[in-house]
Amino acid sequence: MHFRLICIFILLSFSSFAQEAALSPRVANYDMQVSLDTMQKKVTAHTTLRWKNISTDTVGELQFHLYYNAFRNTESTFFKERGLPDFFSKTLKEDCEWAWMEIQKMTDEDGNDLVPNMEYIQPDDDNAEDRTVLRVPLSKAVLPGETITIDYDWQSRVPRTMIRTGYNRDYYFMAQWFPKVGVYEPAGMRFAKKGQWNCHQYHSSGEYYSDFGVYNVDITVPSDFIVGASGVLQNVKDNGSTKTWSFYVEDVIDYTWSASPHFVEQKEEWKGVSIRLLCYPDHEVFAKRYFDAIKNSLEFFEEHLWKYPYPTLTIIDPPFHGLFSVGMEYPTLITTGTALFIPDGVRTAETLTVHEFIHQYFMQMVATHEQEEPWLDEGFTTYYEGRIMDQYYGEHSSTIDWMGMKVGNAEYNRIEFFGMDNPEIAPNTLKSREFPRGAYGPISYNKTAIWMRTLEGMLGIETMDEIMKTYFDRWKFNHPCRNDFIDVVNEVVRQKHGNEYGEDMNWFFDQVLYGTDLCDYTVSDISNIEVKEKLGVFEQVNECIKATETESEEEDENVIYESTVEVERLGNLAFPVDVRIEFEDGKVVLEQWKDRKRSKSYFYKGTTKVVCAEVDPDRKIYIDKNFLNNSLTKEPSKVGTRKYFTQFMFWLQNTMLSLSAMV
Amino acid sequence: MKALKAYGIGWREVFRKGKMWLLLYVLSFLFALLAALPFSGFLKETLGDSLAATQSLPGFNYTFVGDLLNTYGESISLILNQSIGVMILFVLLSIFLMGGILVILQFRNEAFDFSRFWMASGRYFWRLLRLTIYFTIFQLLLLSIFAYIYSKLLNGLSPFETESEADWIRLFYILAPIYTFLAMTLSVVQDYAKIHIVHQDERIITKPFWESFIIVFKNFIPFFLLYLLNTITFLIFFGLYYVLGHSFQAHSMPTVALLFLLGQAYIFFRIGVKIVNLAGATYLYQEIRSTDITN
Ligand SMILES: [Zn+2]
Repeated sequence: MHFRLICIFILLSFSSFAQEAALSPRVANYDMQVSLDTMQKKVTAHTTLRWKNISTDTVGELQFHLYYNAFRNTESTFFKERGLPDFFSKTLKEDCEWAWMEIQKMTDEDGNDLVPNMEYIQPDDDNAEDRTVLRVPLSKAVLPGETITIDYDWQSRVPRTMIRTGYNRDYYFMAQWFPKVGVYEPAGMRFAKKGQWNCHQYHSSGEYYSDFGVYNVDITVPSDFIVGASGVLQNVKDNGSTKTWSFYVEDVIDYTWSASPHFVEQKEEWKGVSIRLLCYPDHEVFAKRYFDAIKNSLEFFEEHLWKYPYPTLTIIDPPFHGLFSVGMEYPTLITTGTALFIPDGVRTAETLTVHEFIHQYFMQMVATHEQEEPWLDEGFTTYYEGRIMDQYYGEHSSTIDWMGMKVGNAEYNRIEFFGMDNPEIAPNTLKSREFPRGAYGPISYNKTAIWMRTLEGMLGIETMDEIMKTYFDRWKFNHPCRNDFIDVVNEVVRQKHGNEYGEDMNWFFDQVLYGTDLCDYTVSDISNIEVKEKLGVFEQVNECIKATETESEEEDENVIYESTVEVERLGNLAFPVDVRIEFEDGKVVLEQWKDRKRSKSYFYKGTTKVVCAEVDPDRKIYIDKNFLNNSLTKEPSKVGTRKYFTQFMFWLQNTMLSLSAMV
Repeated sequence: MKALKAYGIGWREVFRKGKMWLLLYVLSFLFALLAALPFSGFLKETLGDSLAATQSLPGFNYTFVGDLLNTYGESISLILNQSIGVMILFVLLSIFLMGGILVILQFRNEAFDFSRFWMASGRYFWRLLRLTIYFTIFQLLLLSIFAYIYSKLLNGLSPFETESEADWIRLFYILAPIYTFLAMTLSVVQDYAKIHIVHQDERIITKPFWESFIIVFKNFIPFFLLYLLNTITFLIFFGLYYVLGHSFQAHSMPTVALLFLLGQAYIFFRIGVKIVNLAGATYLYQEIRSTDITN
């Protein structure tokens, strides 16, 4: 009896240890046996899904994403939103290469056939032709804490050169490729008011949102194909004309793989993380750049957030004809890309690699909703992209350093955002599909990165790092929304700065996240007025103040000036800003302007004049749309303008002579 | 050997006709100044009292350039449009001056004569203008043909229809030298057509056009070599300018002045190389004509 008790205790401890060791709640767990027919371009698969109800609700149905049905016909929501781009037209219209995904058989653990009751639903737009979400009523509801096992056979036709996924020639990139269960959100989770499935249709913009789980995937491909996939390669079984590649990965929200007979493999290791690069032979020259970029990013995040917790990271460098899959992020697998004609100084290879890797943290581990709140992953990623690129490749040359042209990564964001036709067209909080054409990227990516850098400038890098670390620690392997991030900001700022920035930081988010206004500070005026000596009879008629003998004869040290510096807020956004005022004798005064008034004047009286003033001299308020008007000087140096004039003049002469070569 | 001799003569002529060299340089300077003055006013107006321009030094500052384009994009494009107008005028002026240059170079060993120069400039303007238009059309046609071949051989330059971008690079390396060779040959023919018009005082330009084709193909090696030598000389000057211009940071008045002088020296020598080419070609043309006549 005693021995049995000990055994039970050991078993229990083991299971509770295993429970603790899991990084994520492991809600959606998949075993998949997949076979790729490269002749028919078809995938045939069997999936066993173990779905755990971690809510306190009883769940009576499951909802699945069937992404490939987005490419089924012209009436899908995807094509209605996007139109039929030229390069798809031929393969779709003439060659009839429409893609699809169908579930042929689905049973629960008791063998109940679930197919007869399943139906396609359109939760976003009621487009009856859209078949990207499948509702499966269950024979038996899933009770809180219970796990249901569903088995299903399915088949899909792989699209050719579609957005993010598909095949071209013998290159396959399989993303959003399997029937994947949505996320059940109980009341109180993110924006849910009542328990509900969050399972959006596939749209032209925005990607996915799904639950964490364990994936056991066997992929059978022709024997000459090399497979790269999420997770650890367990073994490769030779079946004669085919090979089965088995992978295993824990605590991820999605699964992706790629295959081609032309892949060459390179491997490197970083602190226990095996980095596997698959590229085409002529891109092997880029391997070092990819590995360096990944190692820099791994090192950065180990220092700032958390050590990358997975044992593998696979980098796919798609061939030129696989351009549709360049620059994508999936759990433990990313695609990067560059081209042989791009000069080394243009760091596309590094930028894409760093960007997609960062998504392992923001999107994968902190699994925000890419369709509903794109800024929470794309914006955060772009912000960190700027920090990593500028730290490792040079602050003003990390993106381009070529032929005298230098562009830093962080500064590139300002040009992308402020260079828009109308940067005020939409707030940051729109869903991906709601953005007006052309606004999704500059606002979700670049504007977010700019205001995050503004937050960093205002609060200091230490506070910013603490905010991000707290947010990450609290929400990793979970699904936060914007309110959760704002809560962390408020909490950390209060802890570190008390009431210095007000009761909370909501005023900041009201402006940059919910608002569309712009920010522009300027120094509008500097005046220095010499104080004239008072002469004449004042209170006592018998006391006359006469001019002193030295009166304005020579430059007197005792001349008193009343100086005024006027600073204005031209945009509607307001932040606490520094104002740096420099006097003729070299004295420097640093003022702070904290209120929301339209202008502010600073008065000084003394023996020295103000020579120049600059608002936000350290460029903390990175969201200021125009730094050119941030300063004003009474003693302008002509060096800068002369240089630009000289260069313009030279450019003109040279162009004129080149044109006259036609003669 | 002929080409080398012509090249040497070209340089001697340039220095002998120093006044013409200087005149051409001054004109290019004045035209550029005319186009650049609005830019100077713009800089003064927008950045004159700001620290921004000085803070943007040294080197290239993308934030500064970006803010300038975002804030003053309209003014800048207006200035650029004006500059394009000035550039078109300069091209017309170059056509005008070409007659003068060629006549001056026709009289080798003689010093520069202003009145002869201006008279010849006026005399040949319309003929050289027509010639320039024709050759520009030929050059554009040649470029279009090569662009078409390039695109056709690469399935319309669709990445999705391309195995590897290395295919694009490989074909570029094959076609670019052929194109460059043909474009240079066309330029050589144009040079001799100009010389022929001026020396023979041809009124109908189709005749010198075909004759220069025949002359060039009969004497292809010296003609082409001379052009090649001058192209290499130009590239050397450009390389020197590039290396020297990037060897220091222009962030003080003396260094900005140095940058200005360096740029002007390059422009001056670029004009010089142009004259060398025409002088050398004139010499070769005269040599060939005299042999033809004696034969
Ligand atoms: Zn991204």
